[in-house]
Amino acid sequence: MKKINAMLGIKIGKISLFIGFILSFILSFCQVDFKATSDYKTIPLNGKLTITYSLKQGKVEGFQRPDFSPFRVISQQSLTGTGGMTIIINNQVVNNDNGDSKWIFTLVPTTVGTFTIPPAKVKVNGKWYESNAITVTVLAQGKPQPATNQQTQVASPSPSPSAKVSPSQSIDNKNIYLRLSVDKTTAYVGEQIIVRLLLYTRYDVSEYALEKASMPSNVWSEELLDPKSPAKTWEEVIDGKRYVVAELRKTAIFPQVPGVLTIPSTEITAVVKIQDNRYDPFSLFDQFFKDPFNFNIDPFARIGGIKLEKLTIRSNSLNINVMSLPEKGKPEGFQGAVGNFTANVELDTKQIVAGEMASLKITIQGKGNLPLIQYTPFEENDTIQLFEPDVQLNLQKTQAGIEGKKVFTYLFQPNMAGKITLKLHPFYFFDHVRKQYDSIVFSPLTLVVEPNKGGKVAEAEQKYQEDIRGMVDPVHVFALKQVFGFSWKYWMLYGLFLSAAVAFTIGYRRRLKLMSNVGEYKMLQAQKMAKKRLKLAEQFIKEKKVDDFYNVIAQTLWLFITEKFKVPYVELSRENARKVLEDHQIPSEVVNDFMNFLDEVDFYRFAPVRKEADMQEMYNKTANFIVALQLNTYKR
Amino acid sequence: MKKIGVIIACVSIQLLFSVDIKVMLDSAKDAYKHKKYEQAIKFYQNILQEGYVSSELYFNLGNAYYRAKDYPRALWSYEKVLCWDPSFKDARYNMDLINRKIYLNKTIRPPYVSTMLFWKIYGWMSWRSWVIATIVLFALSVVFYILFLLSNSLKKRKWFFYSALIALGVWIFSFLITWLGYRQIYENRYAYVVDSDIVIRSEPMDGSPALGTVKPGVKIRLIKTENQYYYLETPDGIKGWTRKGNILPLKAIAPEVQ
Repeated sequence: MKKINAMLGIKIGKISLFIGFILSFILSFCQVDFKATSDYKTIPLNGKLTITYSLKQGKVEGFQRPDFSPFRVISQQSLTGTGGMTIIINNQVVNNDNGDSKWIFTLVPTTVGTFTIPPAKVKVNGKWYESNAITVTVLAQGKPQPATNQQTQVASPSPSPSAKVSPSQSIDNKNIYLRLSVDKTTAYVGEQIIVRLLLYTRYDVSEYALEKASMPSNVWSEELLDPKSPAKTWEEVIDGKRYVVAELRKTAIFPQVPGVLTIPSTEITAVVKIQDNRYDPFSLFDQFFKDPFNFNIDPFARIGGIKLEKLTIRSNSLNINVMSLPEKGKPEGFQGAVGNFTANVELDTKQIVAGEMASLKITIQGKGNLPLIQYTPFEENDTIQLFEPDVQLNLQKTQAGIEGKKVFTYLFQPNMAGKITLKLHPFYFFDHVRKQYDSIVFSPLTLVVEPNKGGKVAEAEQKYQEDIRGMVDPVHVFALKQVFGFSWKYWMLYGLFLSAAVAFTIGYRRRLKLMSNVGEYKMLQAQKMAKKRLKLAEQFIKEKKVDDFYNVIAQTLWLFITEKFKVPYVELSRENARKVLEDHQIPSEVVNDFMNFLDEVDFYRFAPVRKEADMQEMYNKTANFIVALQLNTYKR
Repeated sequence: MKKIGVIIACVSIQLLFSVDIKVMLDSAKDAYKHKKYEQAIKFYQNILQEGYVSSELYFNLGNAYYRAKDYPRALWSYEKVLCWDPSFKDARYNMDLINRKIYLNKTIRPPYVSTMLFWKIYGWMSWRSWVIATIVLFALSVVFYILFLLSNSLKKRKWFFYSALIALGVWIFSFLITWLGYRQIYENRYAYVVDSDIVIRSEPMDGSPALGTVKPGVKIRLIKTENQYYYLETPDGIKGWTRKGNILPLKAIAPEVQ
């Protein structure tokens, strides 16, 4: 029985131990962890102290900071749960701390001694919790001593400073503004100018949106700050008021053209927290009476009596006088480098075969407009070919601006064997500090080029010995105005040819038309022929030569019979003619008429008296007989 | 008498002008011979600016530019030679030499088959010869046509008719080639980049985004102009705007940058 009881006791003990462990585990999660830490436990009188109050995984409903006297608060920022600082650049969230809630205070001591900073209070789930107190010793002088329980401080994500602003007030433009500033207002072309965008604020800024920098097109610019990193902040006193200054942007610019360079104003949108006096964190009904239907979308907007207001802030614009680089003393090979540089050259080989590649590396380093620097070591010629360089730019962005190095790696190809001495161009730059041109002179480099023994390299060598084909005598120089092609003369020639073609076509069509009417055509042809045969007779009529006329008429008639009916002229007689005509089936009445007409002609030929007036009648009769005979032969 | 005086005066002026051109040609030749290439270039430019051209003139100008190491302008000059006389083999050789030797066979977009075919055919003879060929072929076709009309024999009529048709067909073809050649000379849309790089931008304004740069010696196609900008296409097929200057159009008579 005792044994059983002992066993039961052990079991109950184990179970109660397990339950206790579970309960303690749950309780450890439920317990609010609210701590205060400091970065130093001992600081000199001229030092600074950061006190951080951190709350793990709790829904904050209120926070009460302790009385820090005799310390003075120079900066404070709060990162509470989901209401942490958000930085938006170009509509893109770059920093959003959604973790623990933290309240960070930067304090400066006002007197020497050992002081205890009382606990701060935080309200979580309707209950107030206290942090631990912190004891700090302030010495008259010496180095600060880190606190033993120092924790990693939350990185300041953005300017969220809060100088001493009266607890309840509306937004005043004098308490928050943007300012553009430059390190110089007069510069040479190509000289580096640092442009800074500063936010001066006496409010606690919880969020801001910054547009991308819009620099004028005639400058080359480089951002010096990482937009994702927290902005640098410090405190300044202006007109007796203490401001926290945040450096939002820092840009190195290099003007490219002389004249007045205007840096345009920049705008940011910021959400600032201002204290709301009407809010009592201890009043349970306060929230209800102020926003009974919960129209306020942001549940944290009024936590801790803080009111959020959205502001658009615009900076000033700036004018910079950009001067041209002095002409006096400007070297011929100057290519626009401005700054202070050193340079060295390096040849990868001292011996090479013609047609092969050698590498020449030129390194230029220093501070200035490195990205814009150009350098050509030598001009290529028929024996050396220089290729486009491989350029590597290695820039370092420092608070003072751009510095780094630029490496030009040129490949070149000697094509002729022999000893080559490369005389490199000096590297010229303008030293804006000394306001004068400077140069870096390189020692000549020697390269031995061995002849090659064939293959592609030999072809390359041969190629570079090739030359253009020479001059010719311009024998056909002509004025542009006299160019024949497509000129009016050219088109006129076409017109002429076309006219000829058209004229011939019209003639041809007429001929066709005539040929289609056979009778008329034959008559026309017969008339034509008669006219042709009687051409001489016509002439004699005009000349009134009567004897000649009748002789020609007779001769024409006899010749017509001879030629038409193929009868030898010598064999022709009056009887013979009748027979020939009859043999050719000429109608008898035509034959008779013709024979009578022949007699009539003979009568007139030998008659003592003849009238000139009869000549025309005779001519017509002759023509008619020829036509008649002709037509009768056609009929056959 | 008065008329004769006017004619003599006109002829004298013409002769004086010709003498002047001849003197300039000789001077250019002498300057080239004595390796004063810049001077030779100026003489040739003056002749061109006076309105006198010839393929040989452009060829000599190209040689002078080559010697003066102005390779983009040398290419422009040789291309002008080929526009006027595509059968000028020396100009083609010199152009190829520059592309091989100076620009190391730079990447050139392969021409279209139609373009290649045109240059192959156009290269048979000079543009002036093409012009004369068109006139002769047209005259021939008209003559054959007339002979066709006048012939009585059916065989001859057939022969002349087909001859006229063939002559007309060849005339149409040669006229097309001559007209395309005319466009090469007077309305050429291509140009050479000279002197320094040009920046191709997406919009016709200085601040607009740069699409790339084109080096001197590259042949580009000009599409249109707007105020002080050209809209052009590079051999890589990039289309964009560039400010006028450093561009030498092939339709220009003298090598004056636009």
